[in-house]
Amino acid sequence: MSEQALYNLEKLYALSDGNSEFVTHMVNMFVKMVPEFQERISASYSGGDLKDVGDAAHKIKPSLDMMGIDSLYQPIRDLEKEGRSGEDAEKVKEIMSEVSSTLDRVCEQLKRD
Amino acid sequence: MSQPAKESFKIFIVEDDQWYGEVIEYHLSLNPDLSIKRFDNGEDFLKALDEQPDLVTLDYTLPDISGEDVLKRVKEFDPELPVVIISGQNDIATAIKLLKEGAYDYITKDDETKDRIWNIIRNIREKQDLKAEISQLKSQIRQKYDFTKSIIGNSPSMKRVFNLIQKSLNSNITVSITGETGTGKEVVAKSIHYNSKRKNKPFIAVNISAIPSELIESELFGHEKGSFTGAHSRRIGRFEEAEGGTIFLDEIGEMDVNMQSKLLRVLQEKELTRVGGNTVVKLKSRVLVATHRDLADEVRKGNFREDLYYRLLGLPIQLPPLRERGNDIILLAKHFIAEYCAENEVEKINLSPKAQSRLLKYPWPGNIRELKAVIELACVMTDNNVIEEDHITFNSTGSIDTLLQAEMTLREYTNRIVKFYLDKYDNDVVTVSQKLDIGKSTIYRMLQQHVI
Repeated sequence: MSEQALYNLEKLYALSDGNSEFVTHMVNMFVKMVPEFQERISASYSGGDLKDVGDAAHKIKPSLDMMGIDSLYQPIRDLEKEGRSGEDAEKVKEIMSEVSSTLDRVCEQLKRD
Repeated sequence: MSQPAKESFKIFIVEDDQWYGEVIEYHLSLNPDLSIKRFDNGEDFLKALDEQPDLVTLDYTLPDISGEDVLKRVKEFDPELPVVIISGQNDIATAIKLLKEGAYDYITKDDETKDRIWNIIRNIREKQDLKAEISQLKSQIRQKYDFTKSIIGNSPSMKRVFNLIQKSLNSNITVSITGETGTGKEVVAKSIHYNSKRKNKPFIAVNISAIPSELIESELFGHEKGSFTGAHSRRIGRFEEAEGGTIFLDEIGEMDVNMQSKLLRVLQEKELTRVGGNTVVKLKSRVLVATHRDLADEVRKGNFREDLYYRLLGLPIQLPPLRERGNDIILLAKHFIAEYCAENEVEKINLSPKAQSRLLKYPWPGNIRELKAVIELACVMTDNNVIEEDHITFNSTGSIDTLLQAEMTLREYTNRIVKFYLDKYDNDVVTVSQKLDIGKSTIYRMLQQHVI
């Protein structure tokens, strides 16, 4: 593995009593869910609906935690907070692109692994 | 007694995040006792409430209805249904608000979520089992004190008693029950309580004669910490324990005059203060009293306050002595035989005509309590499932020789004798101390040391 894994499936294994079939199923679902999330936040951002960006971040947050994507632990919370406050569009955009690109890399890794 | 567990514990997960919902659903489904259903919106979930889940986990942010509204509608449907709010963030103000509105708990989505859900499930199941057990026990008690079954008798005097009990049920009137020892005063008191509207509240019985007079006030009304030597902690009195239920003051005739005036004041004001305290506690319990004495006569003799007498008289129920109840003796004897057979799992025992006539001739100074003891002994003595005349022995005479054969120490004999008299006189320490010509304190000491 050339780069360090950005996710950790330990929590999913623990929750499913080590059922790898279930974990694979959840990973596949996650990989499908990510583009939907990315589309939602980018559409909302373009439409000027920063609050919906925050709400979307709020929704996906527990899933990112459970997938063990530690590098997004703080950014997703910042996105939730900044989006909902709607004060600093630039900052929202900045975090959005960080979150989105990390998620792209996570999905690539997941598909590869 | 263990309660048959429900076949499965039904959990509804209301979660619009499919991914997260599926993980939680799978995780909980690892326990085969749980049956789980998942909803991704509020409306579908509310429509399914008729399926009667045992627990609902509710995501606070749903696409169609706010978590708060969903909670409100669940509570309208069934205020008892536990709803656990699961939220993406820890927002204390929202948590407090939702808990006030009836949420069972508020937890956040983090690494501890699953453990907290398991704890909640365990607590709710324990509570459900306890509730089921309590309601089962309550219905057993109600059956036991269904007075048409628990009080036995066809004699005209008993029919009058039944009539009076019936009349007492729909009112809160004080009932004063009089009758010789062993006539069933406490049974009548319990029957009144367990057939009245107060049946789901406590029934508290206090035998006035069994409590030393200096302790009776704190026993009845409670005390605050440090109000007298030995008052190490605050104690709730029997009147407060009976909150909303019934307090039964047995042997009220034995209450000393000083205490009588305190009781009168409490009954008049309908409120009490604990010994050494200032807080006023409202009196909401119904009062039933009983005595084997003729209270009117005690009033004439100056032993009982006239004003308290009238306050307590209420609806008087006079229980007839057994010797005046004619054929009821046989009915009761047969009832006790049946009870003995059921408890000891033995075949039906019959009562011979000669034995019946022996029972009818005896004066029964100990009334029904004595009859029960005589019948139980007779059931033991019988050898062909028929109680004959000579199986019946009356304990009040003739058994002293048998007792002497037992070769006990003098102290053991003393204990036996005191215990016999206490049983005979409803634990009336004053009467027993007079009968045996010993000090009351001697009896209290024996009671304290549990030698009797």
